[in-house]
Amino acid sequence: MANRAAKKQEPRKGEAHPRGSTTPLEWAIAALGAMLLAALLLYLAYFAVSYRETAPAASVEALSVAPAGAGYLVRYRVVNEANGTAAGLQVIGQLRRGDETIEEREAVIDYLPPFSAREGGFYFSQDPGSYELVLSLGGYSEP
Amino acid sequence: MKASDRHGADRHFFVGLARAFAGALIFAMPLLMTMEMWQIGFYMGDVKLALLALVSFPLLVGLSRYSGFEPTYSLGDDVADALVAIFVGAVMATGVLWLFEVVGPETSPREAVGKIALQTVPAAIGATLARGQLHGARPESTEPDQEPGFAGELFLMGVGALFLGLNVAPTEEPILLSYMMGPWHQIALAAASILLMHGFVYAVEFPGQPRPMEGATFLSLLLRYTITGYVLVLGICIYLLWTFGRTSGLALEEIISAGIVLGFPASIGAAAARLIL
Repeated sequence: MANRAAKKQEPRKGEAHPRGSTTPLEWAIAALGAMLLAALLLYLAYFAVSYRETAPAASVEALSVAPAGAGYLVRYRVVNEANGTAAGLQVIGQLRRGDETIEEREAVIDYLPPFSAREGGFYFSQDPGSYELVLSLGGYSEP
Repeated sequence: MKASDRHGADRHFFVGLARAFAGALIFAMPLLMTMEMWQIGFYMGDVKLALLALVSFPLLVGLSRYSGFEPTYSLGDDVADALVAIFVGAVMATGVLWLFEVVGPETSPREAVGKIALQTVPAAIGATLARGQLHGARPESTEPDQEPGFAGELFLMGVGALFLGLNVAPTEEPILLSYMMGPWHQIALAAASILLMHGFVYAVEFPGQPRPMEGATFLSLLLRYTITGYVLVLGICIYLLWTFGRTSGLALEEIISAGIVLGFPASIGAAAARLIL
């Protein structure tokens, strides 16, 4: 670590950085930094103004059904279309026949960020093709 | 400027840039690998994140003044330094988060921007510090970044507190500890923080220790620097806890006790900053 004594060493030879001179190259990089900062602020301001509501709006859909091991795997995708995060979001998958629930599986998504999607799957022992596959969402908490 | 000078200055700048990347990587690494930082990046409010980015800019300018890697002589140079540090921090954070697959092509824009922007703040502080600290020698006549005055010392303490606080605040532990600790332990922790802050700077005789001023008594140093510094540290801690959404729904006494817990590492950061920077 440099200390105040070390700071007082002799200037190195060829230290080509004279007083008050930020080189054009450095200004160019600085301009990129300024653009990044400005873009970030504008982007966040746009979100803050456009989306006052901060409750998540999630929906679930099945992606695929395929045999897996001794049973079947139903892959799902949960999409959030609002500017709010759901934490600990419950996803529920059921195989039904009429009013009767044959099998029920549950999964938890740790975090579903704003305008984002998360994927997962349910393992069923029965063939989902022979029943009605119902995917639904349970509760979540605000992070 | 002659062509050869320009070449030398550019080479010098590239060396500084490489140091800045090294510093951003070293200082931001613990946070890049903290999962709360990824989550907070997308679930924290847009306004809080924008405010953090806004606050970090003057902070980087000030840091460049007192510590920065280039010996700076004008406000313009400090602003350029700060903007370069932001660029370096953003590029480094994007690169590492992409390597870790924390952000990728499937990440939604808002999620990616939140994660990267949040990491850019400590990375840019690291970039600025490294340009100062990993610097071998610096010219003798750099008056502006020598011996800061009272406001400067407080500023440096604030940066140190912010930096160490930033490393701890995103995690759940400060809140958990504040629930676990009784009031007497919290008072003892606050006292220990103040004692350590004072001891670090004035008693342990680290190199870089500020010279005690002529006629300054123990009590006057304690009151002017350490106590004032500690109050500043607590303010910064509560700001950080608020930014990371750790204060929402908490009663005032719980917020204060979480501030005292986070104030323990942050006050040591504040004291260390006075010695190191």
